[in-house]
Amino acid sequence: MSSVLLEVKNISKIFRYGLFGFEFKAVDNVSLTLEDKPFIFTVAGESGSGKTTLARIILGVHTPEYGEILYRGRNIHRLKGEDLIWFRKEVQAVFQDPYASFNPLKKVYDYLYETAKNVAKISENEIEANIEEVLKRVGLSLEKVKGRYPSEFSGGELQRVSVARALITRPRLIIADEPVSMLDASLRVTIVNLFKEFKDDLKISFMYITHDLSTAYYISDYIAIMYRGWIVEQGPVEKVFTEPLHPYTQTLLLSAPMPDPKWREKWLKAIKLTTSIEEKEFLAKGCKYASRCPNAMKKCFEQTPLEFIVNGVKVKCWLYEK
Amino acid sequence: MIKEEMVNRVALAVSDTVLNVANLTGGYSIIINSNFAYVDAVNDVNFYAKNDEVLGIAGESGCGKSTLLKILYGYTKPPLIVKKGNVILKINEQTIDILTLKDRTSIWWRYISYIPQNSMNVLNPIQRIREHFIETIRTHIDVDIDEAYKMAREYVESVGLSKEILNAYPHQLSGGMRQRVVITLALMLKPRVVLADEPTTAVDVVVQRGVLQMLLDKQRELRNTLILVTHDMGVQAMVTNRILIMYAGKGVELGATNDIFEDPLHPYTKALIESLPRIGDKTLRRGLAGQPPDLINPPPGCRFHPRCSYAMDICRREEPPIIKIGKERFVSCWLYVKR
Repeated sequence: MSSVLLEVKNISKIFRYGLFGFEFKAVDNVSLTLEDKPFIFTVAGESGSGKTTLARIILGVHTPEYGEILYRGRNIHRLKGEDLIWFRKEVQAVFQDPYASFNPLKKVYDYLYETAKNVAKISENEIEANIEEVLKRVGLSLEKVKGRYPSEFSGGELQRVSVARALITRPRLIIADEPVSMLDASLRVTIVNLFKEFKDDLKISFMYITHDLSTAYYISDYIAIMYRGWIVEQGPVEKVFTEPLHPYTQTLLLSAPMPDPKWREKWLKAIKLTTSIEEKEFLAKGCKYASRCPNAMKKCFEQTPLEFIVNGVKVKCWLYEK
Repeated sequence: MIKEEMVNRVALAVSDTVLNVANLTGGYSIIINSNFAYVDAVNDVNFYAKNDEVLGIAGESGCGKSTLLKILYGYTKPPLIVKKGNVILKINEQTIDILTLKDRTSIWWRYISYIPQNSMNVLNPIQRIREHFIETIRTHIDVDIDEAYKMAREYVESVGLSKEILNAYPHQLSGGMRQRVVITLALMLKPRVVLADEPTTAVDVVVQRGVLQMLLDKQRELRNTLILVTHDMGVQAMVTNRILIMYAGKGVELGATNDIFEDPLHPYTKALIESLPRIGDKTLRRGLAGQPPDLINPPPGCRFHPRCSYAMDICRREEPPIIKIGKERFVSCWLYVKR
């Protein structure tokens, strides 16, 4: 038995666009490991950093051009038939926009029913009891859900249904792609609190994909920061937030507005930013952050930085070369 | 006659105000399943904005904050209707009620300007950026095209953007850049009041910081009033001097930003502030149970009472009055009524 749940090994995903098939690497040589214990792993980054593409690759929606993903030692892109259903049972997903993940003309209960029947393979007479149980877990009830369409729910409620649906198969890992960014501030914690609760009570691990640093800090154990397809830094959340190593992580943490006026002075003093062109950075030689980085050296423009380990944190930056 | 009295009463409340909003009530008249319905989006809202300040308007989606901003700007086209109230703008010692003004285009851009939501998508896709600038300048200042173009170039450079962008079409610029262009346009004629509706929601944190910085720098330079609508309490904490908290179409609390965050008075504000996770603090946060009311059929009494853990009998029957607590602190809640 290996003690590794999920291993992402050097994956790259190339998208082609335009008439001449310009290539662009949405995810570029990314590696990460989730150990087999209840754990919340956050992938944070701005839009276009490749975090959603990474999530889709892990879910098996996209096939990477390079590298492989091992779930309990098995390459998920080679799974077929029964094995694929096993993988679906083990790994579930919650997406960003609850109104977009449900068909507006289909009753919400049907989604729960179909997952229970087709993926979890629960026998017909136990389905309803199972559904009732997962709905209770997220603070809803069967009467509230049965017979109703997505439009009859508020965004927060519908997102709870999405979480409940993911629970039906008794998964080991839930990939949650921006699950709270469509919700109001006071509702966000109610959803992320559920994740915390399920980690402790149901021993489920989460991969929490977000651009919201405050909820990331609040729930996660480990964080990976993505920038232009790279993971530039990854480590235990306390270490990354208190002592960010990569210049990009530093800028990101200084830029994020904090809901506390005491931070204002610090926030206002943070470095002024220059505007730059994003597309170039994907194609740039050397470090993709070099053109914005205040600490850029000659080497940064010429060679892709290697990953260095500093005090338990992996950072992809030449500054930390020994 | 009655209206004049109202104006005087509001004007007396606080001096050095630039905008006084009194008893503002408005909403949307719509048809649902061939029945008329009225969405009570803004109900009896009162507040004021001072010279040289950033006033935030905060609240959750559907609380009426964007509708309020549209009414403030006088952009009232059906189905949006205004039922009563005044929006008094002070310009050069004169007072104007924006809602009774016939030709609002004369004050738009020049004295009061509006940065709409999704501002990155409001530029005309088949016009170059420079044409947007020239048109705006020539509507308000009597100059020829060359002169206007020259002004636009100088102005764009003065705010730190490259003058090259004037020759670009909107699609050639990134979202953050387009947002900056719209903000630049809105501030060009040095308006006394700038209304910004979620100016940074669709952009990344790093870009967001740049856009907010630009808005703040401009506000400091012009010493005017920026009214910033955003649901992001982080942005509110970083940028504003005072905040108006809205809930279900009502202004529930108004006060200095520090006071709102450190000592929230209204139960809704309390719940909202307590629900926000902060970096460096992993203690359990509680969200707010329930959901906001349907504004077609809002609950009687205080609109927050169904979700309020302090709700009393009177809260279910009567609307709470606005109570002044200390200097410049207002709360609309029965808990603070002395009896």
